[in-house]
Amino acid sequence: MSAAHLSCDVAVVGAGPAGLAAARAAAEAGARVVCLDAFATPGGQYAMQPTQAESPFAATAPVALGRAAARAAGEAGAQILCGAEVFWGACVPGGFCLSVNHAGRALAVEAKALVVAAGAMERPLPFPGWTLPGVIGAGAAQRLLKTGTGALPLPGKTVLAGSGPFLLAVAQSFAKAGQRLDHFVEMQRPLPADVAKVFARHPGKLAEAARLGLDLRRSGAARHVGHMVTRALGTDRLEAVEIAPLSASGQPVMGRAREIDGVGTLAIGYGFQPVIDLTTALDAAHDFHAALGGWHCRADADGRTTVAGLWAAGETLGIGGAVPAQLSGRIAGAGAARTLGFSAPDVTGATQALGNARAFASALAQLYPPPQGLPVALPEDELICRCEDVTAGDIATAIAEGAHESFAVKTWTRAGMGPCQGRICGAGIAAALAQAGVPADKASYNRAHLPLRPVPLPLVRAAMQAQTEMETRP
Amino acid sequence: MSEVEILLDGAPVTCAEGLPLTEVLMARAPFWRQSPRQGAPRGMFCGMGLCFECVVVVDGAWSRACLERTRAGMSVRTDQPEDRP
Ligand SMILES: Cc1cc2nc3c(=O)[nH]c(=O)nc-3n(C[C@H](O)[C@H](O)[C@H](O)COP(=O)(O)OP(=O)(O)OC[C@H]3O[C@@H](n4cnc5c(N)ncnc54)[C@H](O)[C@@H]3O)c2cc1C
Ligand code: FES
Repeated sequence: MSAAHLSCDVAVVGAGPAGLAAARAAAEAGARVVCLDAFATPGGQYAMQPTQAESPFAATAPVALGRAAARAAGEAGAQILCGAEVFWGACVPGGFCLSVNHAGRALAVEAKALVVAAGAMERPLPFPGWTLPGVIGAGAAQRLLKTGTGALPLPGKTVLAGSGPFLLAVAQSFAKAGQRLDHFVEMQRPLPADVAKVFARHPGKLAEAARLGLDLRRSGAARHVGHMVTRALGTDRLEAVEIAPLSASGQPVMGRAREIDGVGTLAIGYGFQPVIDLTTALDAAHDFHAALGGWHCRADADGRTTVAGLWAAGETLGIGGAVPAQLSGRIAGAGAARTLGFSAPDVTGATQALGNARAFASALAQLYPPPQGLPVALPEDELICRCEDVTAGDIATAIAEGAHESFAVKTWTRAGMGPCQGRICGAGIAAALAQAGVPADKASYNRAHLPLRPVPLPLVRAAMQAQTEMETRP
Repeated sequence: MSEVEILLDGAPVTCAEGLPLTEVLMARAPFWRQSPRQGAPRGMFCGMGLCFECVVVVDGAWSRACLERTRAGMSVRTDQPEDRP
């Protein structure tokens, strides 16, 4: 197999709100743009597109936004490739080489500048029973509702749990789909005075928040605020969920725990973390900020990272939501094109709006501070790494014996060496390290290795050959 | 909605076209593979292509069920491929 070849001025990774805005801005400036996304359709998370014409989501605003953004980028001349997963990126003379799995075939994309808008993923925190089939991410449940028939496939009750404003968005998706939600379990209870303060400063967001609250009621769920899931129970699949109220110090009060039985689906999420596999592979600097979802790519106000020619946008720069994603995408796309000599439009307006949009996101993060430690103490034999079946006990031993960095825990226990490359277990390992008193900047993050996402070996070979040709070309 | 027939572990299943394959698999059971060491049952977890818990074989090649869309005649096997990631 030899790799297909594409060459462009600006490559954009991610066709979510940020990537599509970047692709459009760069293409409007006159740059040749290729925008790549692993999913089958553009839109990313916020603007994901339904697959069924009669989907209850077909006529919603985010779907329209995704469609319009993809059309605008296309009309500006950007080439959008879906089903195209970037599994490696390298600096080559004159720019970058991206190795792509395009529907099972190797594709090498050569670009003078690169904008990474890889978005966010859930921050899965382990708890007893979290590997039972039927326990899924809150985002996974939402994706099923939005891209499937609109009905969850597992029989039994549905419990939505975790923490943060995203849970409300998922509850809203249940209400929109007309899908029954039985229980809503939110760990944190922001003070009404603090909530009022946020919306006094951002009155434009009040209507949306009110709708979220109404839709939670409309979903029919029993609400357990200030509670957390302490255990998922079952033998070969989820059968019951144990919940308990939290004490003032944030610990579950097990004396008041209760079981919800007959549960088929537990959708659980403790917020988001930026997707940084590609930017770490390219050796850009990253910073830690709990309110931004932890480790995120460092960039200046224009989206310029610490690597020449590499730009970042959207949630790769920290969790902020769809509005900052679009604005930062436009800014980075224009910046990347301008640096290559194209006359990109002035984005001062977007830069000002971005500051305000980010302020709202950070106010929300203060209302729902993402938990840094493990929500519930784990028994020794509970898994933290699902790929390699590494237990909490294995990880505790490694930390006790001196593994005080994510990388050391990985080489010691194999947690993070499996196909997920630490994307899933990383949050759990970071929480275990935080609980052991290791500060985040010391615990650090794992730099991604080749391939970022597993691909059949012939594709890796073909792409690496193309990369070597670019590297050694006279 | 147009309907298609797919082969699921050799048995024909009728479903809507273009659905996430996970929806069809989960309607049968919430799990379809075993974890590598403990052999524990696993199914879809992240739903967005990042955890690789949902791997199946589609038309002879391993693939993440959560990224696959149903199409007429596709053959899906859930016994674990030798070369699975
Ligand atoms: C599971 C989930 C659900 C969410 N739901 C909502 C919601 O309902 N409402 C809301 O306001 N916000 C939601 N968000 C927050 C959301 O991330 C932002 O609002 C917005 O989508 C961010 O835009 P973005 O362009 O930065 O990233 P995204 O929209 O996440 O887009 C990033 C894109 O990059 C692609 N990508 C990443 N890495 C690669 C690679 N290596 N190769 C190819 N493609 C790649 C992904 O496939 C994805 O399409 C959700 C986030 C997540 C993680
Ligand atoms: S469910 Fe995680 S990759 Fe498919």
